[in-house]
Amino acid sequence: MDRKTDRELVLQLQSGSLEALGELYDRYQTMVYRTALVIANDSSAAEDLLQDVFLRLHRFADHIDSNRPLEPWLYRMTTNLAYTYVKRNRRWFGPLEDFAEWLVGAERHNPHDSVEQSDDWQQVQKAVSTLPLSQRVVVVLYYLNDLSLQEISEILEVPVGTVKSRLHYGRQTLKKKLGIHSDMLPDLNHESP
Amino acid sequence: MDMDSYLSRAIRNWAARHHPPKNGKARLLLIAAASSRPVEEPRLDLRNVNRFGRPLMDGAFGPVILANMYSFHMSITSLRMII
Repeated sequence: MDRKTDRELVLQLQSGSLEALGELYDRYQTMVYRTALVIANDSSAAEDLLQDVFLRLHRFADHIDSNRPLEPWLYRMTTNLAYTYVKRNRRWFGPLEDFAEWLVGAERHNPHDSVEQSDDWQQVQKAVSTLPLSQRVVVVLYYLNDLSLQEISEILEVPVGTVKSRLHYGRQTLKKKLGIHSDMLPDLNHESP
Repeated sequence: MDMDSYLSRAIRNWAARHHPPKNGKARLLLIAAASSRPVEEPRLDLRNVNRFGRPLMDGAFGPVILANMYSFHMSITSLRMII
């Protein structure tokens, strides 16, 4: 059976086909879900965001240009919704999280130990979740989704220089938080399934 | 391994441990189907202002009568038959 292109599916969606919506969901659910997860650092929020992104795709299908690739639209919608979620959540729970962070601060391990532990991804998760939101979004799109600076700039609608600077500062912060020196980076033993 | 490869692999490993919900698609399609149901034909709004400047179905019982139009019609018809 021929695999339909995104363009064909978007056109079908515009004429009201729920089957096309289901097919697009199958195609992009993992990408949207994982992007939302890493930005929001909350799996149940990521589930809600995933649903919300595709409901908006359905609702605003008529506004989508079928001649342009769909992925950037999905990335833009995911980052915008995740951004709103984090900002809203931060307003209510942020001070509490800061207090908890302060409480456990004294117990924090030596950053030099972090990269020697087997669960590197957990250390990175913690470090990424403390990044300012604008840097976190760029870091996620760059490292998780493997997008170029130009693509990120188009998705976020900011100049490439801004993307570059956010990535630079994000990387610096992560380096500091993880206590990484270039000569002590380990080989990660967790391969993506 | 350089910094970029390290971060890239660590973030991907973190994300790869999580999967979208299994019932997500069914739930999405259900909500989408409900939201795309065609809107019913608009009914004649009897509460529109008439030429005398008052709504036809004004007053406390207007909304009750409109909501139970069939019962109201039947009771009036029965009453007329009795009379």
